Amino acid sequence: MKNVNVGKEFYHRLANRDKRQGDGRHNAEEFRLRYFKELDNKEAWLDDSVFVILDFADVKVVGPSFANEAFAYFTIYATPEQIKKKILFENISVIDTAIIDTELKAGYDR
Amino acid sequence: MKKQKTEYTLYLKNKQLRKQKAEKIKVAKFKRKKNKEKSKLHGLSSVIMKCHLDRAKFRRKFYSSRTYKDPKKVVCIEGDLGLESKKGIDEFLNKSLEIVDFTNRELIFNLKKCTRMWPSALTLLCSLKQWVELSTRKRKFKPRLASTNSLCNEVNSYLHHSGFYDYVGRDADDCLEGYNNDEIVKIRREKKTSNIEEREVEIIDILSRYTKYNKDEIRLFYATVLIESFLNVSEHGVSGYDNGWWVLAQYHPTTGLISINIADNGIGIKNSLITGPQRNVVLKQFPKNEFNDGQVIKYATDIKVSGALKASLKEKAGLFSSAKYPLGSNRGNGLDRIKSGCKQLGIEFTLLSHYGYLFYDALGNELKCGTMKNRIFAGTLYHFNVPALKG
Repeated sequence: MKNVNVGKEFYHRLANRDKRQGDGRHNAEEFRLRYFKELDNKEAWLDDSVFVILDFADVKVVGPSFANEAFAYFTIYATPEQIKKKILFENISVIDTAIIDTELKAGYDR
Repeated sequence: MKKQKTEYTLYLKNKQLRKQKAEKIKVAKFKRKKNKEKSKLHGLSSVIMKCHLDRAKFRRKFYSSRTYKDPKKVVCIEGDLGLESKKGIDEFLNKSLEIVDFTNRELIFNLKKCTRMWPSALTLLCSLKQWVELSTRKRKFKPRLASTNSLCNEVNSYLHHSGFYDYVGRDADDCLEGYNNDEIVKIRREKKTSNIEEREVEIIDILSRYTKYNKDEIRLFYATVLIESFLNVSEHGVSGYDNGWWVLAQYHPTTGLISINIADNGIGIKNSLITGPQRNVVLKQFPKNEFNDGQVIKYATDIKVSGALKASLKEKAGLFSSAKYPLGSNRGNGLDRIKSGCKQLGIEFTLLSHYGYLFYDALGNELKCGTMKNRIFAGTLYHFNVPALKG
């Protein structure tokens, strides 16, 4: 199980979806590849064990596009509930939680 | 004689070698250029690649189609101009209708009787400046844009203070001092996308100082409204003299509002959709040559509707199921997130994109939606009226 202080180890502003958006830096695709590469296959989602704990204490903002690309991407393998069991969020604000939940739901709704 | 002959043969041989070498360099250059183009599109599917090329072609044609042959035109701006006052919406739309698609060699703004230029009006004029720059980029003749001073010195001073004069390259005459720099995010030539975060922080500072929003509400505004608007303009803005996006925000103590204007000089929402992967679906509902921009903008605020090159397409319907979007991350939720963020925070939200407009009131109800005969904004404008403390 990994522990990541997102604000310090990645960036405090989680906004860009990919390289084409904004200044392209610290984007969600890069985030996903850096921390969740092992989760990008069906087998990784067969159990509910915790894979990573993300500490959001130093994160200032999470944009919907970032949340969509970084977390809702995994709705191709799992339900939003399963995703939140595998990826735990610590010290996260109410607003950031709501944004991530909305995006997980949007990814799972067709 | 023999010596001369050998020298001549040697000369010919060298000449041929030089020619071959030049040919090789030419081929290598061509290959390098091709590879560079390929590498840009590397990893993209054929649909995305086709959209990418089609859009580039459309853009080239779009920005080179305008001619400026008509004689000088003078546009009078009297009283107030801006989207900030509800009464001013129709006036703003009619005035922009008159100026954005101009075809004159000279366009003069008579501001003598102008009593107030709101930030949205300045953003409009900057879009015009951007349009002229882009549409005449490769031409010798460039139409002249100019303005008179207003009889009201506050107007001239504000045009200077807001950064507008610097933006359009006009000298400032005598200007009043005493404006508060804490109340404004000045309009300027944005040459780096890395400036976005700086501008966001400046806007958040104004909101923290002059609104009643608590920390969570500010965070919600930052995430849903600011970030998503900036992502859109930076993705769609066309780089030329600058990055193709700009911002102007101003706190108005007497009116009790903060006007935020974030804009790009792109091909507009409708053109993005009809040159993107979802074009067939869009064109079925909204034929290309009809005046339906307003309706298309409204459609674009629906979830998963996007002009992005990686926009998802609905999977084919089965025997017992309707067509569905694929699971996972999807493009096209940005406008919906902006809209719902504004609704939660009681912010009036306006979208202008080329011929179309869409207005939402502070409760999130649609106030107006429509299409004009000519363009009303050369690009796309995200305009927000945020309720603020009265000074």
